[in-house]
Amino acid sequence: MDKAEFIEKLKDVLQRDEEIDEEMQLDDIVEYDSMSQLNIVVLIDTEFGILITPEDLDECVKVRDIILLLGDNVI
Amino acid sequence: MSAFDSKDIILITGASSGIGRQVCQDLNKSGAFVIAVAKDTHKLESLHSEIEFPNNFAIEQKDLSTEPEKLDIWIKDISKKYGKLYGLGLIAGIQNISPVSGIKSSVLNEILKVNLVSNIYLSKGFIDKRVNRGNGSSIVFMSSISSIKGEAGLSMYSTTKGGLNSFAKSLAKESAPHGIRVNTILAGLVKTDLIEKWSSIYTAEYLDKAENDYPLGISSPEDISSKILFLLSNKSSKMTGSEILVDGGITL
Repeated sequence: MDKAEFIEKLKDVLQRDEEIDEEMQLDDIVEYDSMSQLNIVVLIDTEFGILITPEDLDECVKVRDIILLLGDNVI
Repeated sequence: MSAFDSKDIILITGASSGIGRQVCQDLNKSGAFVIAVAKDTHKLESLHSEIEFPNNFAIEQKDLSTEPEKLDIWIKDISKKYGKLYGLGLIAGIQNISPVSGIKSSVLNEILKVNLVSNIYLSKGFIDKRVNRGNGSSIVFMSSISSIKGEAGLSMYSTTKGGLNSFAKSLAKESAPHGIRVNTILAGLVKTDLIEKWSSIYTAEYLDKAENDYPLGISSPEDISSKILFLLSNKSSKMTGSEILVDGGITL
């Protein structure tokens, strides 16, 4: 999957109308909360079969950090 | 003063008959913009032709038993077409009367899809911030006293309604931070065409007996509709996760 496609899916999970880019700070995304973190865990499991935890997400600062968790799955 | 205005866009399923049809008429009279959803286009068109304020009324044909897992996407498209939704009245339902020994997977799957799965996905779509209007938005589920009171022959039907009650509680908790309220009506016997469809069981004698057994008599669609309008309006603010019995006192 390419980055643009993943970011589009992330936007949908966050129920967000405004654009997201990989340099954005997660703290600046108002839709990013504990419930949406669970939805991101489910998204990543469904799309890539990778089981991350909310704790993994807690260590992410920017959108880019979530993408980095996915290694070669998102290019 | 009306409880609603034309900016209050409310989607009602099961709109072509019985309680759903009554709710559409009452909401339209009360000033809301109603999106009436049912699978029968002719019945929807007939409702549209009789409605008091047709400018505040739209019909959408949809069979809830066909790919119910895609209804979250469908309701997002509806909100793009009409605007963000203020309310969701999930009235559609089918009944089946059969002893447990007569349960068949085809019938069980159908009733689960229409009465439970479709409502789960419509709710999932509705709570998306891009679909609902936020603070004050309301979902009303149509459940039944059969979910709390055993009745021979209603095992499949009551299972779907019990599922709705439980789903509504979790949904109410999850969506409260976003200002969305979720409530459930537990109706007793209501005089609708669903009753006529099962006239071999709901015979005149059965209905006469029920009329006597129900302390306040059996309900009309109007009796149920008025409570649904209350739960969809801001008159029921601060009510969420409630199960409202409208059963003429039969469970007393």
